[in-house]
Amino acid sequence: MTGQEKTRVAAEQGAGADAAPARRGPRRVHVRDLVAQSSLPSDVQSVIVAVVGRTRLWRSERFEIARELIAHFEDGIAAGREPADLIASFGDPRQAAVLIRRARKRQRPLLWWVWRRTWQGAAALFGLVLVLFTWSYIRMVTVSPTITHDYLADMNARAAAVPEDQRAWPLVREAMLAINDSRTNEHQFAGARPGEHGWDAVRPILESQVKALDLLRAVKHSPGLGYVAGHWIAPEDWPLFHPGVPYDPPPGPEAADDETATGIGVIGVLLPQLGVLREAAVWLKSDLWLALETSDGERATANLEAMLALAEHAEEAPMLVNQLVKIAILHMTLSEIVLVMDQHPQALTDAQLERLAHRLATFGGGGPLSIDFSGERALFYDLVQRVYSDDGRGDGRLTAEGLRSFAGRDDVAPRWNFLNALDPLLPLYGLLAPSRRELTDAYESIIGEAERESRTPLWERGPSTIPAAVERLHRTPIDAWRFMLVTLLAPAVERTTITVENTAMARDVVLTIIALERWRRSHGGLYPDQLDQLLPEYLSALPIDRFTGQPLRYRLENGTPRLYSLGVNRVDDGGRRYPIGRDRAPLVFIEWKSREEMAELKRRYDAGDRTTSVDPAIFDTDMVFWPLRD
Amino acid sequence: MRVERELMRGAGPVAVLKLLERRAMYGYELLEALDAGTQGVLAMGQSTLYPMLYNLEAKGLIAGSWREADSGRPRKYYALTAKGRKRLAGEIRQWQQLSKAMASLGVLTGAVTPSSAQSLGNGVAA
Repeated sequence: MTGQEKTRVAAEQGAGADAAPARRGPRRVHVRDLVAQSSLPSDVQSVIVAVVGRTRLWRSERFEIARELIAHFEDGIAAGREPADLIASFGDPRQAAVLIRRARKRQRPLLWWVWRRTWQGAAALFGLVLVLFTWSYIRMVTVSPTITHDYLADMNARAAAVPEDQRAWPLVREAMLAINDSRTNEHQFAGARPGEHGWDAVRPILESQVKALDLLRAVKHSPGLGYVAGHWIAPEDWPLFHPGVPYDPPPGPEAADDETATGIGVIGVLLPQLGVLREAAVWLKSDLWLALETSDGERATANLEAMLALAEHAEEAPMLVNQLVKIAILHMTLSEIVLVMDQHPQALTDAQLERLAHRLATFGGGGPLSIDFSGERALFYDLVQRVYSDDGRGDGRLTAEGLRSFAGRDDVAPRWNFLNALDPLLPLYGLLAPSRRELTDAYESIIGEAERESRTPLWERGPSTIPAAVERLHRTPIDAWRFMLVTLLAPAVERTTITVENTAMARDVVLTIIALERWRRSHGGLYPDQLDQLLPEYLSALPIDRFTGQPLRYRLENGTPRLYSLGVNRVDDGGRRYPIGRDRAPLVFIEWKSREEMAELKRRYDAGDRTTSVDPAIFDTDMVFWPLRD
Repeated sequence: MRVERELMRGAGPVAVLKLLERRAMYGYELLEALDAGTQGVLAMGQSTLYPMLYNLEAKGLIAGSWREADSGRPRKYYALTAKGRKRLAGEIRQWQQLSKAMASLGVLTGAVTPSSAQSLGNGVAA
């Protein structure tokens, strides 16, 4: 050791064992340099260096131990003992190093221990997570989904059964291609009525598209739409949905309609025809008013019948969205009929009124309007079979293959795209995902509740039980995540069922209005005193007030009929009209509230609570359907 | 005669604390005192002593400090802390009770005492 190094070592010794050793300089001082500086024999020095080195303690700690051992051996030699004797009595250097290390570490500060335990805990946790992740990953990659049922074929069964030469879709396509050919800004006013903004722009279009409108009217003769849905747009349909865009063929025949490929399935099916059907109905609606202007009752009736046919054709596939479009077109048609009866009561002949009434009464097969959940079930179970394995007993587990395929689908709605960054999290999904049976049981608990609720007449319903069913699935935040697929796919039926019920009441109202007009015409211009006088010749059954389950209220006021529902307060306010805005279409209903909810709202309102958004007019008015104004 | 490891584990630290009760001592000095003061019964190697000292230091029962010896060499001296004194007092009480108990059984003298004889007579053949 050089004099400079000895000086540095001595300075370190003098500064104290805990002083930070010199960090700068040409050479770092080691314990062996310190030991070498002593006057101890080389064999003793070797023992000290070996023991201190094996402790693997901090540098400052090693230095202090080395100093202490040096002092010990020097004292021993100074006391006359032989170095070999001292070495022999030292004990096993390895054992000594272990014991010294263990003991010195106990002197380390609390903060160090906290830091160490934290890292040890983190390492243990990481190890546990790694083991779990590995186990989960293996479980997920060692199984594959098994496609056992072609739900897409089920969905298209009705469409496929329609003979090709009787399908309505080609007529609609041809008509809408013609109407939208050389599309202008004026097309945005489709649906305008005389006197409304845009009518002057729409009228010339209607007058130039007689042939197209004839095609639309012809759909009422078709037994079905015949639109077989798939994952790609057929070339003959492409110009309708992508005007001016060159046809983009599917990637390959295996991708076009491969129902068996994992990750595609019902959820990826395109339903662009629904928008076209609605648009077609809107054009028929405008043409209806053009026909009335020219006193063409036959054309007006045919337009209404065609609109009803388009509504029925929309429901060709049993998906909820199809049914919603059906309801929307039906409700539009019902509103137009009411307006026709209001503004042009003489436009339609008795025969045309009777035809219209019959068409309405037999709409959708003539039964009550209801929601069909088979399509939603098909979507869910198809997804399950493409993502989960199948053990043959109704159970299985989440598969990596299925989840990756599902997440990688670009044709799935954007809300699923967060799953694209999936791979590193796959094991986590596997750990937390419910089993196939758990998932399907959870789904059935929701959809079962929705079905039960939809079958319950509106007047018998309390607050919806679907939120509670969803809440039961979300007992913990983890459960909310685990069953996210269920809550995302479980249809929002609460509002849908109310809409269906309202539309059912609207249909009854319109049938009654038509029946009243037919009665008036055959009874010298007078209306019946009671509604049941319309039975059975003009009406097959009394219209039901969906709020009470009783017949709608009817009375004559100065010879004019007044037809109304008690409304959401279920109290007969003498037919006092709820003030709907002038721009609102007829047949608009007050937002549904159960009896219990209304009672609570009334109680709070009477107590002076104005924090609710309820319109106080609902507490003492009725839903007056006819006449349209007082 | 050296005591077994398990006995040393209990006795060693108490012996060190007792030695330090009088004055501060350094490592080699402690080793010599243990050996000489117990006729070698509590003699231990450095690989046992120093870890023991570090443990006692970690528990706050003793405190180490570097001083310069007469020879000019630095030495680490260990002194009993207040906490160490208190612990030592407790340990001494326990050892006294243990000794008394062992004495009543004749362990300390090797004789058979009336109480141990009674226990023996209850089931153990002489």
